[in-house]
Amino acid sequence: MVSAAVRSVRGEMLIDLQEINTFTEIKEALETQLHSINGYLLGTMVSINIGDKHLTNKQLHEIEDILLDHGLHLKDLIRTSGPLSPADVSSDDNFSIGTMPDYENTLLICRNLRSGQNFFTEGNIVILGDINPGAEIIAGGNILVMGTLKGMAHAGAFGDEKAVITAYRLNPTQLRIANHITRPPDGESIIVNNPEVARIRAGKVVIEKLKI
Amino acid sequence: MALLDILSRFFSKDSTSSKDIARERLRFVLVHDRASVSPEFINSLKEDLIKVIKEYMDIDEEGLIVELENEENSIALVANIPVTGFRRAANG
Amino acid sequence: MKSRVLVITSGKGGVGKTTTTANLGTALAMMGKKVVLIDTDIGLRNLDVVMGLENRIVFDIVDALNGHCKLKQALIKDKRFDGLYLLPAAQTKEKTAITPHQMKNLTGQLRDDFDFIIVDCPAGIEQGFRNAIAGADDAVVVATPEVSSVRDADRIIGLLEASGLENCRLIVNRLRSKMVKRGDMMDIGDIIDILSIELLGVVPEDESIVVSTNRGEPAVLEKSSTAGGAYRRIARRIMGEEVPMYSGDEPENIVDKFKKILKLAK
Repeated sequence: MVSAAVRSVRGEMLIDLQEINTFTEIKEALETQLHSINGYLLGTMVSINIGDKHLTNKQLHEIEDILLDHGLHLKDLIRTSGPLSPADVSSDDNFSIGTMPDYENTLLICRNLRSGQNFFTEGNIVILGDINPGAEIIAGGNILVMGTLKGMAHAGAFGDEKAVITAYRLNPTQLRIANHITRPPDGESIIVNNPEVARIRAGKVVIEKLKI
Repeated sequence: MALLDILSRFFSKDSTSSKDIARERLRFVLVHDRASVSPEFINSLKEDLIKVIKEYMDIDEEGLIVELENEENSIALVANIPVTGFRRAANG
Repeated sequence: MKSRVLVITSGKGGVGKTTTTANLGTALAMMGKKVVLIDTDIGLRNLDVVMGLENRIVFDIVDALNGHCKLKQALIKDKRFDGLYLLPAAQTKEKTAITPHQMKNLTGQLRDDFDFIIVDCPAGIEQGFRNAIAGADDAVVVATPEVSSVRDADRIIGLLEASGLENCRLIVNRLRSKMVKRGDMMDIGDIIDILSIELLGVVPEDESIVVSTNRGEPAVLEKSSTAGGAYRRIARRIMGEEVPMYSGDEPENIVDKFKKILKLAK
């Protein structure tokens, strides 16, 4: 059976379940791990890495329930591709503001973009507002949304694979970075209540929690 | 049919149902819509009228007026045709 | 089978053109036909959300017509049926971005690969309408049993005939049989009598349409939906089958009511 890896980082627990394929197995592995660990503190915050799999809301609640049964709280669901090695956590492969490509010009938009409205600039775009479904923003550089991104955003439109899209709430119809296009999976989506960043990692668009 | 339906129908016998009102209003508005689609419609009607009438009598083509007139709840085609003379053939 | 280009139009907005396009297209695809749906409502596209395909759009009809991409690249494959495709409208442009001539060429090209090309027409009688009807063989006029909708349908039928589209058929949408029985809604006979046009089908008012639009799943996929059933029957009629018209008492006739009461009594 595939086992889960548990690590403790700064008083928080990180459970790595990305090697496990089906949801039933994820639940089993989680139960086994939680039974086998002794001496953790009640109320510890737990982050779970589920790799590139997607969970429905119902599945997310099930995981939360399992953790609560053991007196733990779900802090975060991490979605990454590829195995998470200790190097990943600390190395510069993890997103930080410093790794964003530099562009000279930045367009600042201080309103909500509604369906049918679009913006294009060769540099970065910063939006203080929401991007509604049907609205489009296209930037040669990075995109930063200080609101909810519900429409379409295309960063690195001239082919810069290092460009990133960050949003206070990332819930897009579609994301494009350079020549890569991605969309949320069909069916229920995961509701994440923290800022996220989308970028290209190992040739795929991945979405991660924004850490600054 | 539910009792309530029967009762309500019984008591509201006098008033016309709203579907009949809808139908009549539509009829009226469509006659108007269809007729007033374009000035060319009236013009071609005029030309045809002149053609037919000229076989029977002489008329003042310039003075001929053809109009659609809205009455209270009907539409009438009103033609005012000044006659200048009758043809022998048509009379006989 | 020779391919047909069908334009779904109405004049008035909000009577169910897009819902009709999505449901007839899906129903024909369920019958194994190759179908492409074209949204010509540039600037106000909606067919993509009704079909639940909005997050797959990369290129649109304007991109395809202006040569920014190949036509095949702009066609979005449906997630449920292999033979069903959507050509989405552009959202950030205007109706004048395409011309009737281009539309005629476009539908002409699609004829090679599809049995049915269904064009969702925008409301109004301006360029969007002229674009939508440009390449069509048949027109389906959608009207609700209301004075304003029937009046606009009449205008549209006149314009279709004037542009040489003689093959027009009518779908009466959102019929409420209870109101018809009460005499508070025009019945099918009244509408046909006024418009003097062939009836293609009747779709009852049905709350499941709202639910299916919320989900992005056309109602024809839902077995229990009465409107979905009506659309499936219309699709069969389009295929040339003889299918009885919706009578208005369908969901609950007296026998059913009695059965229900008996069941409750048990």
